Amino acid sequence: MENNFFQKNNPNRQKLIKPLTDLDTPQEIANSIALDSLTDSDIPQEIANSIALEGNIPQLKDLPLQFKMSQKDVKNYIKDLKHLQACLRTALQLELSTIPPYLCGLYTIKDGSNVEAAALIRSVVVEEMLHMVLVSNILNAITDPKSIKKGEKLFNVKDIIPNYPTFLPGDIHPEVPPGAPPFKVHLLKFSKEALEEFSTIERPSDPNAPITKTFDSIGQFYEAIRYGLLRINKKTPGGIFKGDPKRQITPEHYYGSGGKITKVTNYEEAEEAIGEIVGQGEGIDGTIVTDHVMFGENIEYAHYFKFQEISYGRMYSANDTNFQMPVRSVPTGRPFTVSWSSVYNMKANPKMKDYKNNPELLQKAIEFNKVYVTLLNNINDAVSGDPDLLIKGIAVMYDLKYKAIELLNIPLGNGECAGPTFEYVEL
Amino acid sequence: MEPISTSKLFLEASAVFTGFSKTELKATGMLQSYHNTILKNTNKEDIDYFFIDLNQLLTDPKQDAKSIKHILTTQFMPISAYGSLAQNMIILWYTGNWGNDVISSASYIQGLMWDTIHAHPPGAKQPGYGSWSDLPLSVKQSTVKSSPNGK
Repeated sequence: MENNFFQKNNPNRQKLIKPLTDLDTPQEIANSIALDSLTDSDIPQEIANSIALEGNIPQLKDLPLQFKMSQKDVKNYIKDLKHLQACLRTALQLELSTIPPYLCGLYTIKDGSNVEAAALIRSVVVEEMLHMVLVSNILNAITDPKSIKKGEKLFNVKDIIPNYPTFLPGDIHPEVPPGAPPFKVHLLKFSKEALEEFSTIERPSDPNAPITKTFDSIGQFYEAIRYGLLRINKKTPGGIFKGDPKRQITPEHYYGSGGKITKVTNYEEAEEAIGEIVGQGEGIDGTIVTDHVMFGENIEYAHYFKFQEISYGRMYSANDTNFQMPVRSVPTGRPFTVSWSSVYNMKANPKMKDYKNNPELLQKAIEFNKVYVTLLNNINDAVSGDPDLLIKGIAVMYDLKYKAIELLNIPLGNGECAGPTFEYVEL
Repeated sequence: MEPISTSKLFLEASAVFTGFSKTELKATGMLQSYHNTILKNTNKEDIDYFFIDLNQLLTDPKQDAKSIKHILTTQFMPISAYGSLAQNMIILWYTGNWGNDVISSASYIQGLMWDTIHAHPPGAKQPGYGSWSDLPLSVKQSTVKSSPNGK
């Protein structure tokens, strides 16, 4: 599964992200003009009509949350350096918020079943952790060491842990089917619903979507960060990349990174780091592979397409492309077995308070959360000036899995079983 | 009174015999498999009386948790009782073995002995390269948590 395609020394390495452009597509501009006269609280005419026709009462869920932000707004989204740093902290939370749902999908697969699906999900989790590290590198690169108080950490573990079900951090609202409630991330067992959720998290921005005030994809949020980095770096005398290089995580701190860790000390390296994040997440410019691909070359597909593979129980083949948007690409490669029943029947969105009548079970949930918080503290220490600590987190990651499986083995008496709650606890 | 299922009785007795809580035993995922193991491998007369006597003890309204534990340790645990079933159950839970046979790959991994000594089953649960130079996580954390079962 390890790919060499995205690695720097590969001459065929594809450009991971589109160059920044000033222009909206003609379609976007047309939509933008159509909506220009509206204020935030207005309902677009189209929707108002459909509401009138179907006799529905307008509700928040009918509002056009699926619309994306205009290119103009994306470009000017970030106000100043402080806002940029805040957005990168949000990006950290965004990357973290995807890890527990993916881990629930992975842990609930029973040993020996769904081998391909487990390997695909696992590879995504590893990359989400990598993304956290890359975002930390960018944030550290634009943080003047003089502004850091002694002992201050890069982020606050207690504040960064999401409460599931949660909206995606960063005001990102992916498109949902008409009438469906706004998208929230749930902790689910390995199931069709879970895969649907994973795909929605990673789905690329639709270039033809009408325009609104919120981001429609993780990619669009990162685009705003790229514009912010470029603009604020340019207009700040001496630039904003004043961070302490010793706070950077480099490949030797992160084994198994496949050379994807990028040290960030200037704008170009920051672009490259974001390229890794966005390229791995949703794929590049509507393609899943390029024509440089030689027969037998291992490709690591973007997360969205990995989840599509599991949903269809079929790998992509080298000839599959995805030029049509919105994404409708169906994999046509080798089939593999997906079993939705060889799965721990975990209760959705488990919480410690669910276990309050069972002190022994509660203790197990607390033990899991202690390991989770230990892991996050470890990452936080590593990105706050102690990069060598990162490797020590590996033992903790193994322990996290074992503790999760222990919870999944405990029946709740209604056909469901307990599960990891991914909540904050004091150590 | 409705008799308690042998699977429940097995769990109750196992908790007392091993010193691990019922939840911790369930968390190994081995309960069903070990219950089947003792049913299959123990002399019929021994196992029948074991469960009959255990059911009687646990449904006796005169007994409380303390006296049940006392009776289990004094009357059920001696080697002479029920064909050494209690000894066999303890070895089963701690090592995943019945006699010299490993029940399954899962039972090897889930042996309580690994947790008890804060170690990992070699070859099955990786603790990560170099982790042996650090205190085990469970030991680090035990300084802040109470340990009701002496684990």
